[in-house]
Amino acid sequence: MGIYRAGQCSNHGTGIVPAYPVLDVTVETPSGRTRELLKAPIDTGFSGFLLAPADVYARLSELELPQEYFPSYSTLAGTIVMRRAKVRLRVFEKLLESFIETPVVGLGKLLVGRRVLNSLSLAILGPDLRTCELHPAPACPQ
Amino acid sequence: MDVIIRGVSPKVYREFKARAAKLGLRLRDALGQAMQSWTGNGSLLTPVVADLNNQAYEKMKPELLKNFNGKHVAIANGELVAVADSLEELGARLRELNICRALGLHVGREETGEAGEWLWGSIALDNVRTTARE
Repeated sequence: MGIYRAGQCSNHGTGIVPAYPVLDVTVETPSGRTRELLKAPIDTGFSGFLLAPADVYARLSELELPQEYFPSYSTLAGTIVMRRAKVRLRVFEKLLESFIETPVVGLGKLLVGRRVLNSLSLAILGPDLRTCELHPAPACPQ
Repeated sequence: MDVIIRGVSPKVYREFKARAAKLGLRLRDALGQAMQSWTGNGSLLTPVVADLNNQAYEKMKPELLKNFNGKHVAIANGELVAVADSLEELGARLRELNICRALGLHVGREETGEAGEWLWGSIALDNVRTTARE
């Protein structure tokens, strides 16, 4: 593993105790007509993409997948099925073709899951209450 | 009436429950429909939530796979309205057509309802109190 340098950062959410790491995610519909900036808490326990409350999903689900492609997730309270729609995400200037999801039944909540997190190089700086993107640092000259 | 059934396979039960949730049905209603179908007293068709675009998609699925495999397509008002080589192009077509909601897919390339997990984040504690200082 090389040496990395921190770039842009998102400040932790501090509305509840303890503070929680978030990513500033700009979500855009495929047509580009709707765009929203969301402060999505990071959840490494969620294996999906961007989970959103039903009202946010309603605004951003311009292009929803057929029902047969709705994924199911095992949770601590049983299995739940999610609706899924195509979106573009911009995180720290990186553009990702991705999905927004919300439970078929229930209200959902805002979270960014591993399918998005695994596309990014991130460092969670707990004491600084920030999550930062990482760039490979240039090699030192001999 | 109330019924208790023992010895049901957990896997089958999980899948049945997930399928019922996907269709927006209560478990007892889904089970009732399944029992009616099995005994021949009900429709053998899979229950589908009333949705014009999904119904259209089910009908045109073989044609989509045959003619548009690898393409991005959009279905609105029960009709195929756009075919494109990329999601960006499809988005532009939706903008041109002034379509705000559609069913879309990358034909033959989408992941099929894979099972994932949502663990600790699925449980939230309300009114957390702590004496710890940050």
